[in-house]
Amino acid sequence: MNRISAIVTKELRLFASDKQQLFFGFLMPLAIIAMMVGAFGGGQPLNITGYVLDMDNSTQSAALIDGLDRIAGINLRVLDATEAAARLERSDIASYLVIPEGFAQGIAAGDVSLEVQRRGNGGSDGQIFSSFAVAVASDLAADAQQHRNVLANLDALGLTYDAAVVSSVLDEFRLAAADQPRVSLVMDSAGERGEGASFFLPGIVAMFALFTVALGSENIVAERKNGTLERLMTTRLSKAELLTGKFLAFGVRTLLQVTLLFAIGWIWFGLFTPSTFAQTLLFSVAVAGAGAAFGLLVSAIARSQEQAVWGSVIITNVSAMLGGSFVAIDPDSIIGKLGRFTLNYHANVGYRAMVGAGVGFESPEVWQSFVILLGAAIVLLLLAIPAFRVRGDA
Amino acid sequence: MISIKPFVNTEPAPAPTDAFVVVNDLQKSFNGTTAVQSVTFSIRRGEIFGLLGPNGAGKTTTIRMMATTLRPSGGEVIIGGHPVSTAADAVRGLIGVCPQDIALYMELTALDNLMFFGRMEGLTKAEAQRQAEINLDLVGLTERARSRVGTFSGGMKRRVNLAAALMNKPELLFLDEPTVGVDPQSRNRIFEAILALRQQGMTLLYTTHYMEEADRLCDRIGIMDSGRIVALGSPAELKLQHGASASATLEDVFLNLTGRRLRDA
Repeated sequence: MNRISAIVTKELRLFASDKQQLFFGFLMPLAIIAMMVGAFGGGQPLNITGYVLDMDNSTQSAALIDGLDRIAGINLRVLDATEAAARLERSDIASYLVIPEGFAQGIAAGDVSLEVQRRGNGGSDGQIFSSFAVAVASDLAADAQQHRNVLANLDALGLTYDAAVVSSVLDEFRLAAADQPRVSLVMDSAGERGEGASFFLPGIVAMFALFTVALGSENIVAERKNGTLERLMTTRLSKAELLTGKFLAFGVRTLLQVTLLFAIGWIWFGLFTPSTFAQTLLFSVAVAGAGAAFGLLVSAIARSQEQAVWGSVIITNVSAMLGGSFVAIDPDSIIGKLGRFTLNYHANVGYRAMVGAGVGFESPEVWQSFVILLGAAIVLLLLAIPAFRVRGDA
Repeated sequence: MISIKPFVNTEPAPAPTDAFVVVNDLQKSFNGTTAVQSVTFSIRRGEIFGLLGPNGAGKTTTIRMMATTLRPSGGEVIIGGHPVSTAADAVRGLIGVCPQDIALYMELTALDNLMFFGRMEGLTKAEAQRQAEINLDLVGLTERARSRVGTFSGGMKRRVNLAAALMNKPELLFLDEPTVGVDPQSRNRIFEAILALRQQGMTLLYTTHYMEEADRLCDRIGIMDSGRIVALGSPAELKLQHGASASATLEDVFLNLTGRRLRDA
């Protein structure tokens, strides 16, 4: 154990001192996850700022401002005429909504007019805000219309009524109705769960975990090339201890990498509970084992550092694509069927079940993937051990 | 400041005793090409044995078979009474190898490199640190113990390479061209270390292309060419037997035996 732990420690120290490995292992996956979530993640909550100039200063204009202010995701700023003009002039804002004089009369008459002062097209925030303003003003106009219709009907029936009481009752009805959501919109994305982070994070973490391990195998080829591997075999170190040390070093390195990336995913996207996080790390033991064995196999087969690096790049990228790291793949398609032979596919299935659906080892998807990855680790190790050479010519 | 001292081997040759190393009819072929054929020699305990030869003569292949990392195609090597073919682990406990190429981790410090190799030899962390400090002092690198080897000059790397080979306090040390490409100061320090080790009773197998080094340092020399031992004896014996004149140098002997044809292998 003394020798094995020394090898693991040495490998981890070499990994920590290798800027290229750290970049590929940690920074690049984070950057790609952020990019993919930003580009395809969807589910972005409304968060815009709307600027209003109230020239009417009426109860109805106040109602419009209040209505806009109550919409979640709109940050409302009421400006005076001087400030609004100055900020638009210096391009500090792209647009502002003007509630013109006579707005209240327009509401009462059923002929409402709003204005927008803008630069260019007013910006996307300005356009969205204008749409909300039109919607809220339309509601106000509809309420006023309803009020007029009720009074007209009462007049037509020849009933005696107190207009203030009728207005009060209608206001109560309107407020009561406003408390109830009248329309709800449920968004559902095609394919597997489309919530960005929960889809991309597992795929990209699995891809980079396998990628960096394979790339790390280049270190063994380098050791073979510069003679340290042969030098080690002149010591009391056995081949079994050497391979065990390398395997554990690769595995521990992958676990560290996966733990850090998922921890950031937890903090950043809130994807885990303590239980699912712990189970995800347990599942990662199988991913790390399979990745480490894969790395040993690559190093055993590769004849040069270039072969190790490029072989790793090609194999891991093809595996990532077939395994559905970036896009959901129809499992019944040819690509889907081919993908099942990749480590990425099974890592993705397990991780997505845990991260996306929040299930654990009670789910067949998770434990079956776990068993398959452990089995793959054993098979890859059995292939790597006899192929492992201390020197290229021996 | 490192002082430069002459590095002449002034110690008397060890008294003939039972051979510590026996190489008997050793052979190695790679894909039908014979690299080493019927090599036979022995090394006495405490002796510095030089193995000389042009490029491609089979010196390094012979050392690799003796150091347990290459399986011979035929013949046998016995070190300290242990056959390499059947008791490799016991042999590894007796030997230290300072390879021709710098076999160190450039990203680690000199101390960490030595400690790592020490732990590979089965030393505890504390033992490895203690031995590493002793070895770094031997090669004059105590002050650079915590510097990364990648920042060292070629001569310093060679000295760390030697220090790493001594971590298990071997009884037999293989030195495969330990002075290639080093400055005179580092070379001198390496020679001082070698002579100090010999005084401690260590047996050394030394290869070099520098005939003057071999002449001054080695008790006996085997000259190899085309995979065979073509001459064997003390420097004086070789000059006497194979020199063209009374003033022949070891280089003259070497060229007489191996020819003047360029070897680019």
